[in-house]
Amino acid sequence: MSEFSTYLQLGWQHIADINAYDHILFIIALCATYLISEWKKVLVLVTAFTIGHSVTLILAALGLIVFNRSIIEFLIPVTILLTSIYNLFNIKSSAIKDTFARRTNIKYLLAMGFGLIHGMGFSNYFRSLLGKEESIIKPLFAFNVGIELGQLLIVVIIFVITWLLYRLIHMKQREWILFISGVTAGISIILMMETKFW
Amino acid sequence: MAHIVVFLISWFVHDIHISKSEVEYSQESKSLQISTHIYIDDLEEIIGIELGGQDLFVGTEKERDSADYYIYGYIQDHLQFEIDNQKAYYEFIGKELSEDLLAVWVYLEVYDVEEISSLNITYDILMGLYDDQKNILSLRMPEDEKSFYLFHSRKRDESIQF
Repeated sequence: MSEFSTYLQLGWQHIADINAYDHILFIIALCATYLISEWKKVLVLVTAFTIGHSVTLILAALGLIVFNRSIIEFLIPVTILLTSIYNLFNIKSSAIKDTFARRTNIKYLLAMGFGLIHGMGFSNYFRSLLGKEESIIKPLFAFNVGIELGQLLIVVIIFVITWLLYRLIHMKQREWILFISGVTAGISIILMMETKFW
Repeated sequence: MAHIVVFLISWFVHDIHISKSEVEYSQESKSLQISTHIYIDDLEEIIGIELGGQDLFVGTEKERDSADYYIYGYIQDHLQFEIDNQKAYYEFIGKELSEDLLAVWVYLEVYDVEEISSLNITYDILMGLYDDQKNILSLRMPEDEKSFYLFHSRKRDESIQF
């Protein structure tokens, strides 16, 4: 295999790895409350998250920022919990869509800010993949592309599942948001207890 | 300052199940040179399980004299090469701590390799410890681009023709 396809595959497998499901859980919390008709909003949201995690992945991989890894491992489930709480508090607002515009902007900013934290998590893993390569630019680029592809796959799967639930069991959006946010919040609290660093 | 950074990094209990090896064939010295990166905590644990080596304290002042013997033995069991369908034996050249102090780089070398037309690799280091262990091997042959091979619990071997 070429270097590019190796690191692409490693990036893809890293985000889509069901054993390391913290990133998947965050994407669920971020996207699962949207209807498929709101795909434009989701696109912006996911892009904001991507910009955030690419920035810190690149900076950390190049050694330009240093951080405490155990704090980052703890903060990742915190981002999931906060996103879940945000979803719960915005159930009413999402019913009245016109007054919702400003809050949506806050959510984009949150997604980008939380992306910064997830990017540092990605960089922990990425650095462990590197050998004594002369240049890390190509592996870094390939790894990041792999992460974006894996992320895209997760978003698509989430929308297929929620679409099926709406179609088949006529699920109500309000109940779904309550349910899925409760699940992501609950799991994130367990993860926080596992990763607490003090 | 540097001490604080190192302390903060080693404080983190890693759960990254990756080992990597760089393999290069040198035409000048007619040898296959291997560098293998393994996390120390995992390595000590698996050596305890498979070879019964206890309290090796790898990379510390208390490191046992037999540590290299056990590490070499474990790697021989789980990183194997066949050159042109003949088992290749490598020597233990040495080891050094990685920059973050969490892992060792182990250096190995197969001597008297006149030429290579095929290479069979078995690389299942730490797969006895973790189901999600992944091992990455990069191979550089003279005048070739570096090529990469991924090993995991369902794919422990690779056959390469040149």
